[in-house]
Amino acid sequence: MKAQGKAIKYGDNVDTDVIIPARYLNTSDPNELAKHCMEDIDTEFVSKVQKGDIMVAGKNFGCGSSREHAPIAIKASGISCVIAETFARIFYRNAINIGLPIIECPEAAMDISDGDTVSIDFDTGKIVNITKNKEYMGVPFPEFMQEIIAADGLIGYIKKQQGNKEA
Amino acid sequence: MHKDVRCIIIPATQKIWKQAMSEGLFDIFIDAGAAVSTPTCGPCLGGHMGILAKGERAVATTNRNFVGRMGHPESEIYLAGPAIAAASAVLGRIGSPDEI
Repeated sequence: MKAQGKAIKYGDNVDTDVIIPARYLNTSDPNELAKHCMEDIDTEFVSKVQKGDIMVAGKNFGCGSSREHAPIAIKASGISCVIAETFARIFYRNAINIGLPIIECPEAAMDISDGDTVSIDFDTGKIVNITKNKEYMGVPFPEFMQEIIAADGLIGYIKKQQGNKEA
Repeated sequence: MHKDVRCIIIPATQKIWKQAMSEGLFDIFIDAGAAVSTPTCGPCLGGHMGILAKGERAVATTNRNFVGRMGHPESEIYLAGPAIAAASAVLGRIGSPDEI
């Protein structure tokens, strides 16, 4: 599985309250959530994000309240992957569970500039900065996590497993 | 309580809620002009009951002061313990019980 797109860069400690403010948690419709993604730290995100773009951030991305709405909003906005120096642990697992690819790679997170074109190979963990002609090695997902993401999240993954059992 | 302050008290659990009631704390809070809620989510995540408008400031005994957490992105949250929060409700500014 691969992703490629333009980098949209943020700093450290991007919390779930700015990824999707609580005032919009009265819905779980991904497209509705996507309309308000990042709006409290970046009012332009929604208008500038293109399908396939890659979010790049610093340390502790996704800290704060556990809410699946946060990775859902990012995914529905068109972001194909989040690269960060580190992720908050609950966000990390929520992202896997709803099928948003994320990858930890401090080197890439620090070196990639806003607007760089970046590609990621999830099987190997290799990140290529096409704009800067550089490569970074992230930690690839274990196979079972790749399967969860490929199944569009944990629910899809379990349905697939159950289906296989019944077959 | 200071005239410019609204004070909302939300006991964390049913057990504490009952204890506060039996100790007569609710009489003190309500007579002072505070609102007492049952244990629930509310303004802490900008949900309901006292969420912050633009420019409002809260002294909150919760654990998060992220941008927009309790309402408008241009509101402010200062995290404090209950003693500081109670003193601040009386003073109308951030202060300590020593000042009362």
